[in-house]
Amino acid sequence: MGGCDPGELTGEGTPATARGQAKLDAPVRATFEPVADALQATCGTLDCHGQVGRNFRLYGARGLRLDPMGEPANEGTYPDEYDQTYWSFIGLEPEILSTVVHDKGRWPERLTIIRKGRGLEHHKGGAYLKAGDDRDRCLVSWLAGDVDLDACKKGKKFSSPVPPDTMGAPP
Amino acid sequence: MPLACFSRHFLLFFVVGGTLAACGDPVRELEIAELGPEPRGVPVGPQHRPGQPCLLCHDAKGGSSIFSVAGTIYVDADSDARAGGVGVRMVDSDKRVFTAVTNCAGNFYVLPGQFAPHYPMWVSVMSRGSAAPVLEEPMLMETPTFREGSCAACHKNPMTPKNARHVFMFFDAQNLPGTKCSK
Repeated sequence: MGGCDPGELTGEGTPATARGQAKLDAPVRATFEPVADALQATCGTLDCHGQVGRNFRLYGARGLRLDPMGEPANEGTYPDEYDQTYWSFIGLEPEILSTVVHDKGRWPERLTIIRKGRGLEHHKGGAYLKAGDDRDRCLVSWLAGDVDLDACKKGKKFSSPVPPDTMGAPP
Repeated sequence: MPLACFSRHFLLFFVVGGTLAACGDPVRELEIAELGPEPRGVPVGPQHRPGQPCLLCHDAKGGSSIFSVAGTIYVDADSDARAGGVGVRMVDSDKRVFTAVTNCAGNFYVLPGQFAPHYPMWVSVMSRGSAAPVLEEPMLMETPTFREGSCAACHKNPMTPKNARHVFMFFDAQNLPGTKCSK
């Protein structure tokens, strides 16, 4: 670490080096909420990444709550929950994320989360991103710095393959 | 380290009375141990351990008969009254539909030969004919489940930020006794 001292950390959480300010790029928090909402539907349930034991964990409505009194089944997702999901996301592979952001989102499959989400790498939960589909475009556009809000809005919908009335038909 | 492991396993064996044999996964073993012993007066079988995460023991690694999905249905959100004779409808991503029926303890279980869902799976709870209590509309689970076959892995009382309430038919208190099993 060449004499890296925690006291030398910059506000970005990166060490200052002899060559100058080292800095990792990250996609911005300001446009993350629609992305988190799109991921919540398929990734953030209590049996998947809505668990505190996961490296990538999502907080929010219909999943893990941040407030000790929070209810998984009620209300919407709060700003502090989006914050924690954001930090969880950007902390997964910060160096690789930085290069993807620097490259305007190109080759996003360098990120494990993209490879697992697309099913390119084993993922117990399955593949819920298909390259170019709404949820995928939402996430990748955010990595590129220009989030596709329409894709995010469509991407957060995830419903039963059969109509609700069929779900409740008498046995 | 080996001594510590031995002691831990010995303790687990002692705690659960050796009836539950899930070896090789210390996390699972601890979770099983935390379930405690069998309650008195309830034989091991379809009526036992309502409200507990069934597949901890009842899956391929658990050492007991294998279920694909299992759980317990309660009458309402906050009481311990359990609902027997209730339909639990499951729809998987291949649009296959299977309905299980709760027994007198409120428990249901599905064998892999009956239905092994391709996740995600959407679940609803509904009345069946004259079986009490009667739901006018099926109670739909708000999110699908993506991998977990035990209802109680995510649904148990008391509710916390990490788990939803137990699976119930009515949100509001019903003041119903729930179904009982004859001895």
